[in-house]
Amino acid sequence: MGFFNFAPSFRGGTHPPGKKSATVSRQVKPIPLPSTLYLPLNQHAGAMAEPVVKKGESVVRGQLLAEPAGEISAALHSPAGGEIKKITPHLTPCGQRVPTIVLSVDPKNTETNFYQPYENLQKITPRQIKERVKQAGIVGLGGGAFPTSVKLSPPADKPIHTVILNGCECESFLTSDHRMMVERPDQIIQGLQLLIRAVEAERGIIGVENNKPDAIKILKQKLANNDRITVQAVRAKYPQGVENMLIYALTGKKISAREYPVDKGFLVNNVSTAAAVSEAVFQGKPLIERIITLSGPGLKKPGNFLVPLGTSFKELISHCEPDEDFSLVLAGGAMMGTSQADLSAPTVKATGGVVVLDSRYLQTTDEHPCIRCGRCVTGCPQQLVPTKLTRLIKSHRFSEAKQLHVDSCLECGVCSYVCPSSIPLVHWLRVGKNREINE
Amino acid sequence: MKPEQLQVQSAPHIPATGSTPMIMKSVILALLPAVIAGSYFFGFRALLVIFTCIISALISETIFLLIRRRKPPLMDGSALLTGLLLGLCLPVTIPLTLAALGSVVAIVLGKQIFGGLGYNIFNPALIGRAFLQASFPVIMTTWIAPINSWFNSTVNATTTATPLAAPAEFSYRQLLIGTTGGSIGETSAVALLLGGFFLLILKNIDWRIPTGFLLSAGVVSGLLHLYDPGHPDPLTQLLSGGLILGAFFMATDMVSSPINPIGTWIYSLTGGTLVIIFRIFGGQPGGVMYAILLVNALTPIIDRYTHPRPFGETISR
Repeated sequence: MGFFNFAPSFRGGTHPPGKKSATVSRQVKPIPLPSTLYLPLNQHAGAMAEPVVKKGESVVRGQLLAEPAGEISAALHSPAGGEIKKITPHLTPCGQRVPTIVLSVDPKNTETNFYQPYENLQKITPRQIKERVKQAGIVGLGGGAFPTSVKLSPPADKPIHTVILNGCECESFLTSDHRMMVERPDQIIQGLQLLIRAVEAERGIIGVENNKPDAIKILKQKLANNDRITVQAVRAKYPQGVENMLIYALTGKKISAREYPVDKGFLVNNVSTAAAVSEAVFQGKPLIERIITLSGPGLKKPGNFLVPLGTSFKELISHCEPDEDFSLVLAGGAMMGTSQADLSAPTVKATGGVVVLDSRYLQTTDEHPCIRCGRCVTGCPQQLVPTKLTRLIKSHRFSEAKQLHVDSCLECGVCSYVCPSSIPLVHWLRVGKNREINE
Repeated sequence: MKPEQLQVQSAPHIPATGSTPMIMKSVILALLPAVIAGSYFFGFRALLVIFTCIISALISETIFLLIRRRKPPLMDGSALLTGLLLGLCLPVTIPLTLAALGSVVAIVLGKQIFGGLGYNIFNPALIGRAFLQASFPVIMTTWIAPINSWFNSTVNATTTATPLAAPAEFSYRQLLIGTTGGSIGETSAVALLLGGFFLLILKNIDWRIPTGFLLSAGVVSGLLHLYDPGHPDPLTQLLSGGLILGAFFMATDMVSSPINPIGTWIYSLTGGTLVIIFRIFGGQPGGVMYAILLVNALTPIIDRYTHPRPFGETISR
């Protein structure tokens, strides 16, 4: 890749090792249902969901457990039949402790309670689609976990003309979206058609990194006779999967960190989200499970798995035969993933993968002084100056850092990755961003 | 599985490929062809001068870091590189004590005074050379003809003119290979370009800097040559003096050059232009040195006015 690679992309970025070969050709398999599921009430951006079940109550698969509280929130459903053990604070992959519904799974309780499926795409109204997406508790599965129903209801003065599906999956180790595109292309296309219909857009684009030729080929074949939806290859470069970078690569339109895609008439969703929309509409199935990648040198049997939400990381890892001594467990890939202090956190809607790394990945290198090489500057997809921001933030000059747009940082980690002096730049930028919020 | 051994760290979790000491070492490696060429053309004494500069640089760096109560990061290679660069831009006839003194000035006044690696405004080696040139102008501009042997002594060698002082005396071939008068490491364009392209391939120097320097120097000297053919032609200008050494190895010092790509273009195009202006209109030798020091000084203000606009923002700041 790289030098002779002329597929459209964005300015900056980098090429971290993909590390996808261990799982890229492994078919998605279901993971055995664990005995206990942990379902945090904040598996989405926005207000925490409100539980509608009580301790001791018996529930079935697909039953509503918590309903959205307010405009930006999402419903939560039971991934399995069982009994509500308690509702108590529990660890999330982000390291917080939030109220969590603890479900004791009863393998004999195999009843399901899904919504009424719709039969025919042509007969569904946009309103019905939006309503179903909201009922099903669908959120952005790419990692942002923003409630999809909110994105489907743009302000009246901002109509959406283009729906983009994000099939980039630029993060290292992760292959779940790739498998999704290869194994469930019809579902993804149906989901895109539903999204286009829901917002009454003119066209749809599926953007896929050109290191996934098999996915591009299948989707193109399926869409050969469709003149509203196109499949476009974009350059395999990190972080191509950030929605603003993808919009730029596909359309040349720039959206700043202070704007939303909807401001310029775009709706961007992950391919897995589109598949979930299709399932919700045509099968009536709420978002109760997702496909995740379990990978990394610490696992002997990595793969892609269909996992019920709430499955703890401990269960996931033990299913893949971990090595004796691994050092890091990440929720997400190696560039943006959050390292876990213990393994009790559960799979949530935003979990795209769990990566288990050995001691070679520990940050032990001593920090050197910045030699102003400018690699963080040319690498930053947002065109910030991370080294200058870091210097300001280290000396507590937060308002100056804000003037230099520290809030536009995507936290993609390119700056830290390319820094020859091993300065944890993105960490300092995060500090600066968070400090601004507190002040 | 031993979950109690889990480590927590801030993303990203993939170790970076390059490192600052590796960059320094690659530049040192890239200068080896010039060292070999210089010691062949000017004899064993050339190595002695370079060695003196390096040792003096390492010692002064260590002492100064001890005074500043810092851990001596000798292994980062930056002091070694400064000594090496200084040695390469000195005449082979320089007394070793002066070479050592120049190195002390380079490290102490050029670098450590500002706070050490990463904080210096000017290229340290050029500060050392500028000090020597200002203090000992005759010694610093006494050039001998190449003796083309590693083993001959340079003591009895004849003095000669440099290509810039007498352009008509030298052919392009001589300029390329380096059989001309001049500083130890500056005469052989081939050796310098070899190392320069090595660094470009490794991306350890910014290609915009040598490109901008050579481009603007070529264009400006071409225009002047057209206006008055008495001025040296562009190719002679590019191949002679310290221009290639400066453009590939000194102006590219990351610390003292701009951090944004647009600023880098301004820096390098200005620098190359200044080189020719100083050479044609200034009486003094050392045009490259003054040009680089001047654009080094411009770097903070260039950085300030070329601060990039964030992606998609319509107003900067």
